[in-house]
Amino acid sequence: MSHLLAGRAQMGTSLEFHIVFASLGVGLPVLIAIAHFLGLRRDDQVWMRIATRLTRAFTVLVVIGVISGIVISVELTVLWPTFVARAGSIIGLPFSLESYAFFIEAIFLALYLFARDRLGPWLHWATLLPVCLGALVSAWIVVAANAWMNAPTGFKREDGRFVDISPLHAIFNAAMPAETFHMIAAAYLATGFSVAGVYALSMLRGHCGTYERRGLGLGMALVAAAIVPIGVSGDNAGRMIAQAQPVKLAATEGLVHTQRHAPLILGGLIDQNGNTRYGIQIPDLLSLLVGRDPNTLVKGLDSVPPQQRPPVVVVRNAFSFMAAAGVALGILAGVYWLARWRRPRLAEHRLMLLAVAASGPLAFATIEAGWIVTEVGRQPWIIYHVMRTQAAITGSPLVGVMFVLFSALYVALTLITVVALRSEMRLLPRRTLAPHSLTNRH
Amino acid sequence: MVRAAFLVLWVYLALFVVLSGGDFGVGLWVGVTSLGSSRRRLADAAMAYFSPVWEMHGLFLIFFLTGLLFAFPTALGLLGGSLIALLIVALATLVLRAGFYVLLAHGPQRVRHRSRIGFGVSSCACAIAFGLTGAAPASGDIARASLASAYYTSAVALTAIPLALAASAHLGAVGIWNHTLHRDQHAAGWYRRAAAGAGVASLIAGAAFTAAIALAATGTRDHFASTSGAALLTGAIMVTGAVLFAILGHARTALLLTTGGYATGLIAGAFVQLPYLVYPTLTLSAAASPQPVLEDFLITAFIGAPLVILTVAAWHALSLRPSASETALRPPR
Repeated sequence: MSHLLAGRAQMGTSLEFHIVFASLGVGLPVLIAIAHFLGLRRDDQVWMRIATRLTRAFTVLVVIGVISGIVISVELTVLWPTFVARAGSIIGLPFSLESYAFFIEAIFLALYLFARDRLGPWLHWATLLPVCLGALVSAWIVVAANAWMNAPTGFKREDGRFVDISPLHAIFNAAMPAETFHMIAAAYLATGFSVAGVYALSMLRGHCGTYERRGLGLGMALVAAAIVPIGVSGDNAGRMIAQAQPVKLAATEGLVHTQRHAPLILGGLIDQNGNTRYGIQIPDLLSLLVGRDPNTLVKGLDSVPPQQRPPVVVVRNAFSFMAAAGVALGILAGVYWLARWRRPRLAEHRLMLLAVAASGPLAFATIEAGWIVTEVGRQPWIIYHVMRTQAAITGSPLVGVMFVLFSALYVALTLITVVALRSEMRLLPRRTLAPHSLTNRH
Repeated sequence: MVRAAFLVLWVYLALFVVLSGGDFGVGLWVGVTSLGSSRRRLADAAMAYFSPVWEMHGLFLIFFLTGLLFAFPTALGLLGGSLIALLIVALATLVLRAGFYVLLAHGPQRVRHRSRIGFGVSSCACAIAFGLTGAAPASGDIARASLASAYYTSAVALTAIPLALAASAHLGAVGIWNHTLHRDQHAAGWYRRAAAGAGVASLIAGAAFTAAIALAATGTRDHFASTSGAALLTGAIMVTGAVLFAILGHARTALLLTTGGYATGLIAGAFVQLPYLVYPTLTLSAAASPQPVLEDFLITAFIGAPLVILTVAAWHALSLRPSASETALRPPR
């Protein structure tokens, strides 16, 4: 493995690990707030039990999420010192603001977890609102910083240096609206499917009470709320990429030649030159999607020399997986709610529950694939058309060691998280609510 | 303006050192008290203090790093490139520690006790790794974007290790003592004595570390006789006062003096090293972002920092107060 590849693999592994916890950190507080609200409003122990269970899981996930977040922030410095030194003045503001937003989330979460019997019931519930808001803002800002790497703005270049820096312009870059909206919707969607999946699994094991039904419905309600926004933002993201990063679009769609009436190719096997075999071509559709007109000119891979193209096979396959899985998840959500509306018994059919149980991991795999498209699709640039990834990486020979060490640590942390989550779920009685069960046992 | 930005950053770093250092110290005490079964109550008392504050304190490192990225990106790039080995170890120990924490706080009963030893060891390793990393920029061993291997056997590194451990143990013990004061008299007494002992060890290690820095950084040696040097001495006096108040049994005063003393010492120590951000490679002005960016940084900090500090103070005041259930359980006087 080359030095550069080891560095990219290390950063990629950390991001792919962290994104799971970060996404759950955005979505879970919303579900906890809804369940807790319904529990208080209706004086309903079942809803309170759902809130308690989700909170227990959230406490474990937050610990791992915070640590993996710290690892990423230090890794950014350690692996990409040139990028940090040159671009820090531009992207420092969004990262700084993200710290404050996450701090608000963290401190109010601590209040929610540990100050329950020091606050009144509704005030205690209200501490969740800043948690939801902090998570949302935090996600928005940090994805905006990433979007800047895809569509850099807010500076001028003079003798290789960045001058006339405007961090606010950098935040509000061209890629920001589509990328942030798409990621936040994806976080809600994946959380909804995951929570629904946990309760579906429980129902498959024969526990089909009100508790499980409501838990399943709660998760799928969040899915229903997020499914349309993710489709709309996905379409916007595609058109933004066509404008800001046409080579990335060409790689995702396997389009070799710049052309009007560009076809959309479904499936198939692609090689590094972008040639697809066995794919199904739909004439004009790519031009139509990109420009709302079949006559729209779409740039192909041949618009840049080969050394300026991303690894086409990885990008295309990750995109195909993301798109296919996204469509499958959308169909599942539609079928579930249709069944629940017209044939409630069908919504609890074994096959439906199996599909919902599988949807959580699939949704996260979809997010991971999406980030592979975003990051690998930008290569060979760390800042698109401004700084090459090769120029930004550290010269230290320890990068390979770091990759092996942290990969092993992430595997261990994943196992620990699973063990701890299972333990927490077992400790919580299924039918009775323990007093002060929202607080830690210590 | 450059110095104002520098001060804001070091306030964040001081908060990380004091709060996370305290957390590492709590881990150390959890490990120590878990070695004998007779001390299980003491370990429980340490964990009870630790749990509520766990997840916020690491954020101050992120505040510091993002601030450094914003205001002094060149310094961050230089430190990231040169301290990679130390930072890898620090991160690995931090990840391991988080894993042990999750197991002992949320894992199955059968692994909880064993995880306490691992949590203690990884907490000590964290304190040492961060101590060594923090001391390196002042050692004079960073040159041409790399850290000289001589650093690891230098007086600065060898004195930074006991200082990091003793200071963490001191901060942790004072915190647990305050938390257990109205909950468990036996544990409170034990941690009061632990705080006094660790405080004395920290003062000795701190004096040795300061001497090692003065010998290594010859270009800034004279600065110890300046206002910053006086502030450094004030920090040491505050920590000494904290030890005395621990012996006398004044928990809150000892807590204030301990946290204030270490924070003052750290910030003053950084100012003693000025104009160098990384001695002797990089000066503060050479590392700073352009003026308009620094203005943005300060605006952000002046809105955000008071909010953060007040919220943390309010949270700690709230967490030290017994809850309604604990008050109900307390026997009548």
